[in-house]
Amino acid sequence: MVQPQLDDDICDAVQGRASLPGKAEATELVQGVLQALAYVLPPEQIAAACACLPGDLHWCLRCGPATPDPLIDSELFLGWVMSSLETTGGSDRTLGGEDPLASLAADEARYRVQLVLEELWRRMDAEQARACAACLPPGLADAVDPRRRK
Amino acid sequence: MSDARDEFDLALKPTWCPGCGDFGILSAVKDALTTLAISPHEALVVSGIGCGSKLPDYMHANGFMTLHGRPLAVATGAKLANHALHVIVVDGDGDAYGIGGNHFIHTVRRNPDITHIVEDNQIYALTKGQYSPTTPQGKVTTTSPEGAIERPVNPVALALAMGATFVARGFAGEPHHLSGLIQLAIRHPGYALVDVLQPCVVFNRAQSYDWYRQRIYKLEETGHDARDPAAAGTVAREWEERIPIGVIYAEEGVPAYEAQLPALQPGPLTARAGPSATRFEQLIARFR
Repeated sequence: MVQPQLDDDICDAVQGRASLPGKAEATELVQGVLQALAYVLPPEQIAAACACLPGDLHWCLRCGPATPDPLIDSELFLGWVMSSLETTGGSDRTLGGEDPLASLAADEARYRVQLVLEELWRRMDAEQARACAACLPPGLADAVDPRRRK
Repeated sequence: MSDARDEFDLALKPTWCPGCGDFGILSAVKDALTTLAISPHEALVVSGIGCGSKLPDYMHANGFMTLHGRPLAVATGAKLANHALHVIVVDGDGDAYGIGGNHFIHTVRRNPDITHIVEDNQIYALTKGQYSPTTPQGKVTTTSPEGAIERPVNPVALALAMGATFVARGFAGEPHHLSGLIQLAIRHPGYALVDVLQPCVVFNRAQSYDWYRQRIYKLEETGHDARDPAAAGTVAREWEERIPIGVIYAEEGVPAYEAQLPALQPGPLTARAGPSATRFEQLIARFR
Protein backbone atom coordinates (compact mmCIF):
# COMPACT_ATOMS: atom_id res chain seq x y z
CA MET A 1 0.00 0.00 0.00
CA VAL A 2 1.52 3.32 -1.08
CA GLN A 3 1.54 5.98 1.60
CA PRO A 4 2.08 9.69 0.93
CA GLN A 5 5.50 11.20 1.59
CA LEU A 6 6.02 12.75 4.99
CA ASP A 7 7.21 16.24 5.67
CA ASP A 8 10.99 16.40 5.40
CA ASP A 9 11.42 18.71 8.35
CA ILE A 10 10.12 16.48 11.09
CA CYS A 11 11.69 13.35 9.63
CA ASP A 12 15.04 15.06 9.20
CA ALA A 13 14.85 16.41 12.72
CA VAL A 14 13.99 13.02 14.17
CA GLN A 15 16.63 11.28 12.10
CA GLY A 16 19.28 13.65 13.41
CA ARG A 17 18.21 13.58 17.03
CA ALA A 18 17.76 9.81 17.14
CA SER A 19 20.95 9.20 15.16
CA LEU A 20 19.07 7.00 12.74
CA PRO A 21 21.10 5.75 9.79
CA GLY A 22 18.56 6.55 7.09
CA LYS A 23 15.60 8.67 6.16
CA ALA A 24 13.40 5.62 5.67
CA GLU A 25 13.90 4.55 9.27
CA ALA A 26 13.04 8.04 10.51
CA THR A 27 9.95 8.14 8.32
CA GLU A 28 8.76 4.79 9.64
CA LEU A 29 9.28 5.99 13.19
CA VAL A 30 7.35 9.22 12.69
CA GLN A 31 4.55 7.36 10.95
CA GLY A 32 4.35 4.86 13.79
CA VAL A 33 4.10 7.46 16.54
CA LEU A 34 1.53 9.55 14.69
CA GLN A 35 -0.60 6.48 14.03
CA ALA A 36 -0.41 5.54 17.70
CA LEU A 37 -1.55 9.07 18.54
CA ALA A 38 -4.51 8.62 16.23
CA TYR A 39 -5.87 5.98 18.61
CA VAL A 40 -5.60 8.06 21.80
CA LEU A 41 -6.33 11.67 20.79
CA PRO A 42 -9.88 13.02 20.58
CA PRO A 43 -10.99 14.69 17.32
CA GLU A 44 -10.27 18.22 18.52
CA GLN A 45 -6.66 17.33 19.41
CA ILE A 46 -6.26 15.49 16.11
CA ALA A 47 -7.40 18.65 14.34
CA ALA A 48 -5.02 20.77 16.39
CA ALA A 49 -2.10 18.50 15.60
CA CYS A 50 -2.98 18.40 11.91
CA ALA A 51 -3.15 22.18 11.81
CA CYS A 52 0.50 22.32 12.83
CA LEU A 53 1.70 19.75 10.34
CA PRO A 54 1.77 19.61 6.55
CA GLY A 55 -1.08 17.86 4.77
CA ASP A 56 0.93 14.82 3.81
CA LEU A 57 1.16 13.91 7.49
CA HIS A 58 -2.54 14.07 8.18
CA TRP A 59 -3.40 10.52 7.10
CA CYS A 60 -1.32 9.18 9.99
CA LEU A 61 -3.34 11.14 12.52
CA ARG A 62 -6.67 10.37 10.91
CA CYS A 63 -6.32 6.59 10.66
CA GLY A 64 -7.72 5.82 14.10
CA PRO A 65 -11.20 5.21 15.45
CA ALA A 66 -13.80 7.96 15.61
CA THR A 67 -13.30 8.31 19.35
CA PRO A 68 -10.09 7.63 21.30
CA ASP A 69 -9.64 4.21 22.78
CA PRO A 70 -9.52 4.60 26.57
CA LEU A 71 -8.03 1.15 27.10
CA ILE A 72 -4.74 1.77 25.27
CA ASP A 73 -1.93 1.90 27.79
CA SER A 74 1.67 3.03 27.46
CA GLU A 75 2.85 -0.50 26.61
CA LEU A 76 0.39 -0.95 23.77
CA PHE A 77 1.23 2.54 22.47
CA LEU A 78 4.86 1.43 22.11
CA GLY A 79 3.79 -1.40 19.82
CA TRP A 80 3.59 0.98 16.88
CA VAL A 81 7.29 1.75 17.32
CA MET A 82 8.58 -1.61 18.50
CA SER A 83 7.86 -3.17 15.14
CA SER A 84 10.43 -0.85 13.57
CA LEU A 85 13.16 -1.69 16.10
CA GLU A 86 15.58 -4.58 16.20
CA THR A 87 14.14 -6.88 18.85
CA THR A 88 16.11 -10.07 18.30
CA GLY A 89 19.77 -10.80 18.31
CA GLY A 90 21.56 -13.67 16.69
CA SER A 91 20.41 -17.24 16.80
CA ASP A 92 20.56 -18.73 20.27
CA ARG A 93 22.24 -22.08 19.64
CA THR A 94 21.71 -23.39 23.14
CA LEU A 95 17.93 -23.29 23.14
CA GLY A 96 17.02 -22.87 19.48
CA GLY A 97 15.26 -19.89 18.03
CA GLU A 98 16.32 -16.31 18.12
CA ASP A 99 17.44 -14.38 21.13
CA PRO A 100 14.84 -11.80 22.15
CA LEU A 101 16.12 -8.35 22.99
CA ALA A 102 12.70 -6.76 23.42
CA SER A 103 13.19 -5.61 26.99
CA LEU A 104 16.32 -3.72 25.96
CA ALA A 105 14.61 -2.36 22.86
CA ALA A 106 11.83 -0.87 25.00
CA ASP A 107 14.13 1.83 26.38
CA GLU A 108 15.08 2.77 22.84
CA ALA A 109 11.42 2.74 21.79
CA ARG A 110 10.43 5.08 24.61
CA TYR A 111 13.32 7.38 23.75
CA ARG A 112 12.31 7.50 20.08
CA VAL A 113 8.66 8.14 20.94
CA GLN A 114 9.77 10.99 23.15
CA LEU A 115 11.83 12.52 20.33
CA VAL A 116 8.96 12.41 17.86
CA LEU A 117 6.52 13.90 20.35
CA GLU A 118 8.96 16.64 21.28
CA GLU A 119 9.26 17.53 17.61
CA LEU A 120 5.48 17.54 17.38
CA TRP A 121 5.13 19.75 20.47
CA ARG A 122 7.61 22.18 18.93
CA ARG A 123 5.24 22.69 16.04
CA MET A 124 2.27 23.38 18.29
CA ASP A 125 1.59 26.19 20.69
CA ALA A 126 2.20 25.34 24.33
CA GLU A 127 -1.46 25.03 25.29
CA GLN A 128 -2.23 22.66 22.44
CA ALA A 129 0.83 20.60 23.23
CA ARG A 130 -0.21 20.28 26.87
CA ALA A 131 -3.73 19.30 25.82
CA CYS A 132 -2.38 16.56 23.55
CA ALA A 133 0.06 15.32 26.16
CA ALA A 134 -2.77 15.08 28.67
CA CYS A 135 -4.44 12.53 26.39
CA LEU A 136 -1.45 10.20 26.33
CA PRO A 137 -1.70 6.93 28.26
CA PRO A 138 -0.53 7.12 31.87
CA GLY A 139 3.14 6.34 32.19
CA LEU A 140 3.91 7.53 28.70
CA ALA A 141 2.66 11.02 29.47
CA ASP A 142 5.22 11.43 32.24
CA ALA A 143 8.04 10.57 29.89
CA VAL A 144 7.04 13.07 27.24
CA ASP A 145 5.99 16.09 29.26
CA PRO A 146 5.81 19.05 26.82
CA ARG A 147 7.27 21.31 29.49
CA ARG A 148 10.54 19.51 28.82
CA ARG A 149 10.48 20.28 25.10
CA LYS A 150 13.59 21.80 23.59
CA MET B 1 -9.06 3.71 33.91
CA SER B 2 -12.26 3.37 35.87
CA ASP B 3 -12.22 2.71 39.59
CA ALA B 4 -14.38 -0.36 39.04
CA ARG B 5 -11.83 -1.97 36.73
CA ASP B 6 -9.24 -1.56 39.45
CA GLU B 7 -11.02 -4.44 41.15
CA PHE B 8 -9.28 -6.76 38.68
CA ASP B 9 -5.90 -5.03 38.83
CA LEU B 10 -2.82 -6.45 40.48
CA ALA B 11 0.38 -4.65 41.35
CA LEU B 12 2.26 -7.29 39.37
CA LYS B 13 3.77 -5.91 36.16
CA PRO B 14 3.36 -8.23 33.16
CA THR B 15 6.56 -9.65 31.74
CA TRP B 16 5.30 -9.36 28.17
CA CYS B 17 7.50 -7.54 25.70
CA PRO B 18 6.77 -3.81 25.50
CA GLY B 19 4.30 -3.21 22.70
CA CYS B 20 2.86 -6.72 22.90
CA GLY B 21 -0.79 -7.05 21.93
CA ASP B 22 -1.37 -8.99 25.13
CA PHE B 23 -1.53 -5.69 27.00
CA GLY B 24 -4.57 -4.68 24.97
CA ILE B 25 -6.22 -8.06 25.48
CA LEU B 26 -5.68 -7.91 29.25
CA SER B 27 -7.24 -4.43 29.40
CA ALA B 28 -10.16 -5.59 27.29
CA VAL B 29 -10.86 -8.65 29.46
CA LYS B 30 -10.85 -6.60 32.65
CA ASP B 31 -12.99 -3.89 31.09
CA ALA B 32 -15.53 -6.41 29.78
CA LEU B 33 -15.92 -8.08 33.17
CA THR B 34 -16.28 -4.72 34.87
CA THR B 35 -18.84 -3.47 32.39
CA LEU B 36 -20.89 -6.62 32.89
CA ALA B 37 -20.69 -6.12 36.68
CA ILE B 38 -19.01 -9.49 37.16
CA SER B 39 -16.92 -9.62 40.32
CA PRO B 40 -13.51 -11.31 40.51
CA HIS B 41 -14.88 -14.20 42.57
CA GLU B 42 -17.52 -14.86 39.90
CA ALA B 43 -14.99 -15.30 37.08
CA LEU B 44 -12.53 -18.07 36.32
CA VAL B 45 -9.81 -17.44 33.74
CA VAL B 46 -8.21 -20.63 32.44
CA SER B 47 -5.13 -20.58 30.25
CA GLY B 48 -2.65 -22.93 28.64
CA ILE B 49 1.01 -22.31 27.97
CA GLY B 50 2.45 -19.40 26.05
CA CYS B 51 3.03 -15.67 26.35
CA GLY B 52 -0.67 -14.83 26.44
CA SER B 53 -1.44 -17.72 28.74
CA LYS B 54 0.28 -15.79 31.50
CA LEU B 55 -2.73 -13.47 31.51
CA PRO B 56 -4.47 -15.01 34.57
CA ASP B 57 -1.35 -14.13 36.59
CA TYR B 58 -1.93 -10.45 35.90
CA MET B 59 -5.52 -10.01 37.01
CA HIS B 60 -7.36 -10.44 40.26
CA ALA B 61 -9.79 -13.28 39.59
CA ASN B 62 -9.86 -17.04 39.88
CA GLY B 63 -7.15 -18.38 37.59
CA PHE B 64 -5.92 -21.77 36.40
CA MET B 65 -2.90 -22.21 34.15
CA THR B 66 -3.12 -25.71 32.68
CA LEU B 67 -1.01 -27.93 30.45
CA HIS B 68 -0.20 -26.85 26.91
CA GLY B 69 -3.31 -27.13 24.75
CA ARG B 70 -5.57 -28.29 27.57
CA PRO B 71 -7.37 -25.20 28.90
CA LEU B 72 -10.66 -25.98 27.15
CA ALA B 73 -10.81 -29.41 28.77
CA VAL B 74 -10.09 -28.00 32.21
CA ALA B 75 -12.53 -25.13 31.66
CA THR B 76 -15.27 -27.56 30.67
CA GLY B 77 -14.71 -29.48 33.88
CA ALA B 78 -14.80 -26.30 35.93
CA LYS B 79 -17.98 -25.22 34.21
CA LEU B 80 -19.65 -28.54 34.98
CA ALA B 81 -18.54 -28.38 38.61
CA ASN B 82 -19.83 -24.84 39.05
CA HIS B 83 -21.90 -23.60 36.15
CA ALA B 84 -22.61 -20.37 38.02
CA LEU B 85 -19.03 -19.29 37.28
CA HIS B 86 -18.23 -17.17 34.25
CA VAL B 87 -15.53 -19.31 32.67
CA ILE B 88 -13.13 -17.64 30.26
CA VAL B 89 -10.33 -19.41 28.42
CA VAL B 90 -7.38 -17.36 27.22
CA ASP B 91 -4.67 -19.00 25.14
CA GLY B 92 -2.63 -18.49 22.00
CA ASP B 93 -3.04 -19.77 18.46
CA GLY B 94 -0.53 -22.55 19.01
CA ASP B 95 -2.20 -23.66 22.22
CA ALA B 96 -5.76 -23.41 20.88
CA TYR B 97 -5.50 -24.49 17.27
CA GLY B 98 -2.37 -26.65 17.29
CA ILE B 99 -1.59 -28.51 20.48
CA GLY B 100 -5.19 -28.12 21.69
CA GLY B 101 -6.77 -28.47 18.26
CA ASN B 102 -8.69 -31.60 19.14
CA HIS B 103 -10.13 -30.00 22.26
CA PHE B 104 -11.04 -26.94 20.21
CA ILE B 105 -13.07 -28.95 17.71
CA HIS B 106 -14.96 -30.94 20.29
CA THR B 107 -15.57 -28.05 22.67
CA VAL B 108 -17.12 -26.11 19.80
CA ARG B 109 -19.60 -28.87 19.02
CA ARG B 110 -20.21 -29.61 22.72
CA ASN B 111 -21.18 -25.96 23.26
CA PRO B 112 -20.49 -25.38 26.96
CA ASP B 113 -21.02 -21.82 28.14
CA ILE B 114 -17.37 -20.84 27.87
CA THR B 115 -15.83 -17.72 26.39
CA HIS B 116 -12.72 -18.61 24.43
CA ILE B 117 -10.33 -15.75 23.70
CA VAL B 118 -7.49 -16.77 21.40
CA GLU B 119 -4.49 -14.47 21.22
CA ASP B 120 -3.66 -15.10 17.59
CA ASN B 121 -0.21 -13.70 16.84
CA GLN B 122 0.49 -16.39 14.24
CA ILE B 123 3.66 -17.62 15.92
CA TYR B 124 4.87 -19.62 18.91
CA ALA B 125 6.40 -16.62 20.64
CA LEU B 126 7.25 -17.85 24.14
CA THR B 127 9.44 -20.58 22.68
CA LYS B 128 11.11 -18.01 20.42
CA GLY B 129 9.53 -17.99 17.04
CA GLN B 130 8.43 -21.38 15.74
CA TYR B 131 5.68 -21.36 13.12
CA SER B 132 2.18 -22.05 14.40
CA PRO B 133 -1.08 -23.31 12.83
CA THR B 134 -2.02 -19.77 11.76
CA THR B 135 1.39 -18.73 10.43
CA PRO B 136 1.03 -17.55 6.82
CA GLN B 137 2.23 -20.01 4.20
CA GLY B 138 5.77 -19.25 3.09
CA LYS B 139 6.73 -17.35 6.21
CA VAL B 140 10.30 -17.89 7.33
CA THR B 141 10.54 -18.74 11.02
CA THR B 142 13.05 -20.56 13.19
CA THR B 143 11.41 -23.89 12.34
CA SER B 144 10.60 -23.05 8.75
CA PRO B 145 13.89 -21.63 7.46
CA GLU B 146 12.75 -22.02 3.86
CA GLY B 147 9.21 -20.86 4.54
CA ALA B 148 6.20 -22.56 6.12
CA ILE B 149 4.93 -25.25 3.77
CA GLU B 150 1.45 -25.80 5.18
CA ARG B 151 -1.53 -23.62 4.49
CA PRO B 152 -2.66 -21.88 7.69
CA VAL B 153 -5.74 -22.79 9.70
CA ASN B 154 -8.62 -20.36 9.36
CA PRO B 155 -9.91 -20.56 12.93
CA VAL B 156 -13.15 -18.64 12.46
CA ALA B 157 -14.10 -20.70 9.40
CA LEU B 158 -13.19 -23.88 11.26
CA ALA B 159 -15.37 -22.89 14.22
CA LEU B 160 -18.28 -22.19 11.89
CA ALA B 161 -17.82 -25.54 10.19
CA MET B 162 -17.96 -27.27 13.58
CA GLY B 163 -21.25 -25.57 14.44
CA ALA B 164 -20.09 -22.79 16.72
CA THR B 165 -22.94 -20.62 17.95
CA PHE B 166 -20.84 -17.47 18.45
CA VAL B 167 -17.79 -16.51 16.40
CA ALA B 168 -16.07 -13.13 16.54
CA ARG B 169 -12.72 -11.63 15.65
CA GLY B 170 -11.08 -8.67 17.37
CA PHE B 171 -7.86 -6.69 17.15
CA ALA B 172 -5.57 -6.23 20.15
CA GLY B 173 -4.71 -2.73 18.94
CA GLU B 174 -8.30 -1.65 19.54
CA PRO B 175 -9.00 -2.92 23.06
CA HIS B 176 -12.18 -0.89 23.55
CA HIS B 177 -13.77 -2.52 20.51
CA LEU B 178 -12.42 -5.87 21.68
CA SER B 179 -14.00 -5.36 25.10
CA GLY B 180 -17.37 -4.99 23.42
CA LEU B 181 -16.88 -8.30 21.61
CA ILE B 182 -15.84 -10.06 24.81
CA GLN B 183 -18.94 -8.72 26.56
CA LEU B 184 -21.15 -10.18 23.83
CA ALA B 185 -19.25 -13.46 24.02
CA ILE B 186 -19.68 -13.70 27.80
CA ARG B 187 -23.38 -12.95 27.52
CA HIS B 188 -23.80 -15.59 24.82
CA PRO B 189 -25.20 -18.79 26.41
CA GLY B 190 -22.81 -21.29 24.86
CA TYR B 191 -19.31 -21.65 23.49
CA ALA B 192 -18.12 -18.31 22.12
CA LEU B 193 -14.89 -17.88 20.15
CA VAL B 194 -13.17 -14.50 20.03
CA ASP B 195 -10.12 -14.82 17.79
CA VAL B 196 -7.92 -11.80 18.51
CA LEU B 197 -5.45 -10.60 15.90
CA GLN B 198 -2.41 -9.72 17.90
CA PRO B 199 0.92 -8.31 16.71
CA CYS B 200 4.03 -9.98 18.10
CA VAL B 201 6.63 -7.22 18.04
CA VAL B 202 9.54 -9.66 18.31
CA PHE B 203 8.90 -12.79 16.28
CA ASN B 204 6.26 -11.75 13.78
CA ARG B 205 7.48 -8.56 12.22
CA ALA B 206 5.20 -8.75 9.19
CA GLN B 207 1.78 -8.64 10.82
CA SER B 208 2.43 -5.39 12.70
CA TYR B 209 -0.02 -2.82 14.08
CA ASP B 210 0.35 -0.86 10.85
CA TRP B 211 -0.23 -3.99 8.72
CA TYR B 212 -3.50 -4.69 10.50
CA ARG B 213 -4.50 -1.03 10.57
CA GLN B 214 -4.34 -0.95 6.77
CA ARG B 215 -6.55 -4.01 6.38
CA ILE B 216 -9.10 -4.40 9.14
CA TYR B 217 -12.64 -3.11 8.92
CA LYS B 218 -15.54 -3.39 11.34
CA LEU B 219 -18.43 -5.64 10.40
CA GLU B 220 -20.94 -3.59 12.38
CA GLU B 221 -20.25 -0.69 10.02
CA THR B 222 -21.13 -2.72 6.94
CA GLY B 223 -24.61 -3.98 7.80
CA HIS B 224 -23.35 -7.55 8.15
CA ASP B 225 -26.10 -9.85 9.46
CA ALA B 226 -24.42 -12.08 12.04
CA ARG B 227 -27.48 -14.34 12.14
CA ASP B 228 -26.97 -15.33 8.51
CA PRO B 229 -24.77 -18.44 8.22
CA ALA B 230 -24.04 -17.83 4.55
CA ALA B 231 -22.94 -14.25 5.18
CA ALA B 232 -20.84 -15.44 8.10
CA GLY B 233 -19.14 -18.02 5.89
CA THR B 234 -18.30 -15.37 3.33
CA VAL B 235 -16.71 -12.91 5.74
CA ALA B 236 -14.93 -15.72 7.60
CA ARG B 237 -12.94 -16.45 4.45
CA GLU B 238 -11.86 -12.84 3.94
CA TRP B 239 -8.15 -12.32 4.60
CA GLU B 240 -5.05 -10.54 3.36
CA GLU B 241 -6.46 -7.51 1.52
CA ARG B 242 -9.43 -6.87 3.80
CA ILE B 243 -9.83 -8.43 7.23
CA PRO B 244 -13.16 -8.18 9.04
CA ILE B 245 -13.38 -7.73 12.81
CA GLY B 246 -16.57 -7.87 14.84
CA VAL B 247 -19.24 -10.51 15.37
CA ILE B 248 -19.07 -12.89 12.43
CA TYR B 249 -21.80 -15.26 13.54
CA ALA B 250 -24.24 -15.46 16.45
CA GLU B 251 -26.93 -18.11 16.72
CA GLU B 252 -29.59 -17.89 19.39
CA GLY B 253 -31.67 -20.61 20.94
CA VAL B 254 -29.11 -23.40 21.14
CA PRO B 255 -28.93 -24.64 24.73
CA ALA B 256 -25.52 -24.89 26.33
CA TYR B 257 -24.12 -28.31 27.14
CA GLU B 258 -24.48 -27.98 30.90
CA ALA B 259 -28.07 -26.77 30.54
CA GLN B 260 -28.93 -30.18 29.08
CA LEU B 261 -27.40 -32.27 31.86
CA PRO B 262 -30.16 -33.45 34.21
CA ALA B 263 -27.69 -33.84 37.08
CA LEU B 264 -26.99 -30.12 37.06
CA GLN B 265 -30.56 -28.92 37.08
CA PRO B 266 -30.84 -28.66 40.90
CA GLY B 267 -27.92 -26.23 40.89
CA PRO B 268 -24.12 -26.18 40.78
CA LEU B 269 -22.40 -29.27 42.12
CA THR B 270 -20.15 -27.13 44.25
CA ALA B 271 -23.15 -25.76 46.12
CA ARG B 272 -24.32 -29.17 47.26
CA ALA B 273 -23.30 -31.01 50.37
CA GLY B 274 -20.68 -33.64 49.72
CA PRO B 275 -21.13 -37.31 50.62
CA SER B 276 -21.28 -38.07 54.33
CA ALA B 277 -18.31 -39.76 55.99
CA THR B 278 -20.34 -42.95 56.31
CA ARG B 279 -21.28 -42.94 52.65
CA PHE B 280 -17.69 -42.23 51.72
CA GLU B 281 -16.44 -45.15 53.83
CA GLN B 282 -19.00 -47.42 52.19
CA LEU B 283 -17.75 -46.35 48.80
CA ILE B 284 -14.12 -46.97 49.72
CA ALA B 285 -15.04 -50.36 51.19
CA ARG B 286 -16.44 -51.49 47.85
CA PHE B 287 -13.01 -51.16 46.28
CA ARG B 288 -10.98 -52.77 49.04
